[in-house]
Amino acid sequence: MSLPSLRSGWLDELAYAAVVPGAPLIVSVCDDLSAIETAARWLTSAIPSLAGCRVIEVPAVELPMRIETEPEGAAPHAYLVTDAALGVEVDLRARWTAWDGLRDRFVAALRHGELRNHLVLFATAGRMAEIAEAAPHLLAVAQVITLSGEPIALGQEDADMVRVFRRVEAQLQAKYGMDTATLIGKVMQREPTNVLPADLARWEAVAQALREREGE
Amino acid sequence: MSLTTALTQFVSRCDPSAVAPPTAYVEFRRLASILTAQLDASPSSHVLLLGQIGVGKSTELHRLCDEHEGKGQVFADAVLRMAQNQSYGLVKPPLDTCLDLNRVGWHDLLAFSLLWTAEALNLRDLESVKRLEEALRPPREVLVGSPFTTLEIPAPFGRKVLVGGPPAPTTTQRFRNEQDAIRKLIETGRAQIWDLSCAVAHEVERRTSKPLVLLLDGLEKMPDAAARRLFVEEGLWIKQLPTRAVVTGPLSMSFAPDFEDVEALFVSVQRLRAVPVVPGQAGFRFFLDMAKSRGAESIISEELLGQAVEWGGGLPRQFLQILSGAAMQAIADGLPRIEEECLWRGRLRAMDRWQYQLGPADYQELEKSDQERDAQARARLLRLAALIEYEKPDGSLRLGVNPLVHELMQRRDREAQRVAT
Repeated sequence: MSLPSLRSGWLDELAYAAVVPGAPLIVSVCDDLSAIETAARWLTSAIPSLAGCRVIEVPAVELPMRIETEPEGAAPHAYLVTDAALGVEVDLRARWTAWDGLRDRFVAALRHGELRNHLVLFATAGRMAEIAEAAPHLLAVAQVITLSGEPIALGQEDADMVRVFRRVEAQLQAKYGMDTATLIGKVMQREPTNVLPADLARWEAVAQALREREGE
Repeated sequence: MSLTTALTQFVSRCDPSAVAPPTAYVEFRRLASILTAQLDASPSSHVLLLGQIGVGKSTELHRLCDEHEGKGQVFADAVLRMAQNQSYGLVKPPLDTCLDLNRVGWHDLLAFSLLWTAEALNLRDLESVKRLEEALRPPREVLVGSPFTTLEIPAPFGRKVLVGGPPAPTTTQRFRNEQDAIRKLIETGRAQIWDLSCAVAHEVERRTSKPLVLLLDGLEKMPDAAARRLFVEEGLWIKQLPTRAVVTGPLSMSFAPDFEDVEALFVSVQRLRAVPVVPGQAGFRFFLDMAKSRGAESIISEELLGQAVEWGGGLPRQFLQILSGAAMQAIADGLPRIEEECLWRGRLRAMDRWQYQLGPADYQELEKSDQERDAQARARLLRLAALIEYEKPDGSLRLGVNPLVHELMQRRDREAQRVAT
């Protein structure tokens, strides 16, 4: 299978998804096994610093037992299953089909009342077609994040989004009377600006998405 | 960074894997009231509820339970609770997480549901429950009348007992552990298991003084072949269910030529379709209210909310997923509100799964008009919510491509053009 064309998040965004108490099931799709390793390492340091959650790596074979037996009242957890997409085809299908059926029990166990834990199932793009066939209902309620190795940069296939982001950029440039390059220069040089903090965060995010993508 | 902002609370209230709490519920179709009226009509009322995934069936069934609880009647949930002074005992057993829907039959469904009810109500001591549990145990040889069965080995030798390992399963746990074995047992005596299950239903009703209503939710996730076997080939058992019931089923079944035969087995068929989202009309306002009931007003403009409604395609879950993704993006970007670019990123996130679920053949089918599609392809696309079923104002049906999938199709075209040049 060719690499996915749509990438919906990068490491930081995956880390936020794994701590903000929204959908507790996350399927993170990486290019290959080494990208999974990188992402897991990143989450292991980012998640505790973002929200004080614990990160626990769980082997795929132990998953149902581990998350269902976690005592109530423990600190919030993010469970990482880095070997979720490993295995021969038959085993992989059987595993994800079983998880598809168990999704409501997973969610109930992860919730523990108001306290929200998260479960991050790592998959490789090459195995996602099989996984999608085996676990359609789990994917329908999970956050599926195809990971980018760097912050998302928009490309030619995102023409509509580029138009929106350019418009926002133009609004900010007009509001503060400077172009993006000047703003970024000032930020890099730690020079004071009159840009409001919320606008600054927005401008930086927009500029980041509009930067030239590697190889284009 | 503080994660206790209005944005994080909003994300939490938009969780697509959770049923809306009563405070966030917005009524649109009054389905719960319609179901109540139909259940009241007869002690053998069986209602079929059809609708694609994410359209709100489970939410409406929970609403049905809430309404009865609110009237001091009955309430049952994934964890069954029963109030006093009610008129029904609503039971919603966790079918899709405990049974293999590829092979399930009405006997398994009935026996499992009633045993689960008895366990949840702590009524396993009922004679009928014990008899059904015993009937679902594998036949085994036991030694009767032997003096050795009571032989005690005196100290200091003691006696060996097994320690460790999981506790002995309850019968409903055996449905989860060894459904094949239970199915085989049921096949050897279907009539006996049915009658024993009916006896459980009647005894539970007598003990609780509440007529039971089985809410058999989750059956819409059955594969087409399995649904056909259950509803068409084994359909005669539906009429014989011993209690009132609301049964969900796969939407694709309603396109089969013999669906009329299935319809005839139920008192009524209720269809939950995607809500048409025309600005200014009731469906559009329903989604705005749904977002506002979750606290959207303080974090997103009405204009952007309207954009999200259109992208939601009339499916409540999809709408909430887009908003939740947008709020998550705003949090990650360090913004206090959902801005336009966050909403677009939220939409991108919500589109992600279809790039793996749809293959080249699916895209070809999506390009066709519905008259050109074969039934199997249509069923698959509906199951994946790549196609959405809408109701026209005159009550007739319209199928449309999901707006997010439509965007994915356009992305594919743009990429193909780029590669070609």
